[in-house]
Amino acid sequence: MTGIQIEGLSKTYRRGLLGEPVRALADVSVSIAPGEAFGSIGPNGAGKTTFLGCLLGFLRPDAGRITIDGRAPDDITIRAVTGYLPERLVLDRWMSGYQFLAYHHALARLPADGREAEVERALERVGLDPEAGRRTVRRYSRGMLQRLGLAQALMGRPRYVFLDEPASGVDPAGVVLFRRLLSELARDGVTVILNSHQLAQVERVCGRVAFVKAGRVEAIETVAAGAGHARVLRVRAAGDALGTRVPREQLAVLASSAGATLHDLAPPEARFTVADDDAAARLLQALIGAGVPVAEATPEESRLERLFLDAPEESAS
Amino acid sequence: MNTTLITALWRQRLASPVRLVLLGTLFGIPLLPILFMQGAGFSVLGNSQGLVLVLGAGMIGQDVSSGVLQLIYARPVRRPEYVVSRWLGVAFAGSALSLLQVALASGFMAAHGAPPAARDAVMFAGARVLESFGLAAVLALL
Repeated sequence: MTGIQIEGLSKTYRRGLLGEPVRALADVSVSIAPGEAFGSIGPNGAGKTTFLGCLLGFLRPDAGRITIDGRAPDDITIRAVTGYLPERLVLDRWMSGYQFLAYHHALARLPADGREAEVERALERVGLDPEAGRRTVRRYSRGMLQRLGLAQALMGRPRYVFLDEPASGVDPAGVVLFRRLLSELARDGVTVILNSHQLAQVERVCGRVAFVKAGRVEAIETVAAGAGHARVLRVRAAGDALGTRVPREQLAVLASSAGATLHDLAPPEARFTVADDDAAARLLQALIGAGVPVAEATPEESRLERLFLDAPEESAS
Repeated sequence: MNTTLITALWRQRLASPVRLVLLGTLFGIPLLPILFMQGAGFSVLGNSQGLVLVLGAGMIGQDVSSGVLQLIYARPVRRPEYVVSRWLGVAFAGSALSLLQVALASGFMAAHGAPPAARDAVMFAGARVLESFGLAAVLALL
């Protein structure tokens, strides 16, 4: 297995016969290792879905080359190990959830023996009960459709899973379930390509993230790199320690000695700007050393949000 | 030929009540004169185009416009395999209905004491099967 290699990928659309050409992807080059969870984030219309379309072999790029395990993305042997959940999932409305999964199980050329058991397991895995499996999909809510779509994408233990906004329309319990399932995939060595606007989901699942804007990959960062970026740290102390026992002036001096800056104080909370993880640790040590009973310390943005906000200006718009 | 795709096509076609009513009408009404009128022959049945048109209308376009095709193509299914399976699915179903119609008509004629010549029945049925495959191919390629 060599993973996914993308070199100089470009794709342009024309809106109508005489319309102006619209650049969807421009010279995108990325290498995704087998077993890696790779996210792409960016504004609507950035080219993320076109990128997935090319990776799945649905769209023919104008220039560039994609190989998956050394083969073309539309190679049948690659499709046999691929799972896909589109952003707007459309199903044959006459099918039941069970029939839909059995249909895709058969299309994936998986052995008919044990199909029934595997479909039941797949329904259970995404939190759909047997009664829901017997219902026709025209009676499914948006969230149930997404759950069914994810079950379909995971049918037959694929080695590559392509997901476009998988948690779109899913209720909070479903979001948590999706996050857990995707994390399991990443742990099991499945290569996951995830398009999502939900930064928290991308951060939990993906090791690397591409920031896409106007068809270009502006930056590719490891999610762990967010630890080295400046952030605002919100510190809450028990009782009246902040502002009363330890006044603003003393807090500012403590922060300064730890390499941080007091941002503002609104007892029982204070907000500090810290440069990185080390500065955050020094600040907390200094506060505790000065007798502040720190009850909670939370960054205002997640690591991925920090990366997103610190990315080149045009990619963060 | 992919039997999973063919079976799914039949179930999709049968899931539409409007299509079922049209098929029932096109199948049953031409048989009525043969059932009730002595001397009526195969020519009353006409050709099988109506049945194939109702079975095959939107056989590929429906999947394209609804977006279902994208999920199918994400599976190890080649485009020609999909098109051929849709064509054969409609052609087989159209042929089966045509043959059943001819068989029932032959039975009604026999009941009136004037069974058709075996050669005529086979020729008529064969022509309808060929029509079904031909028209289904045109619908698949449109």
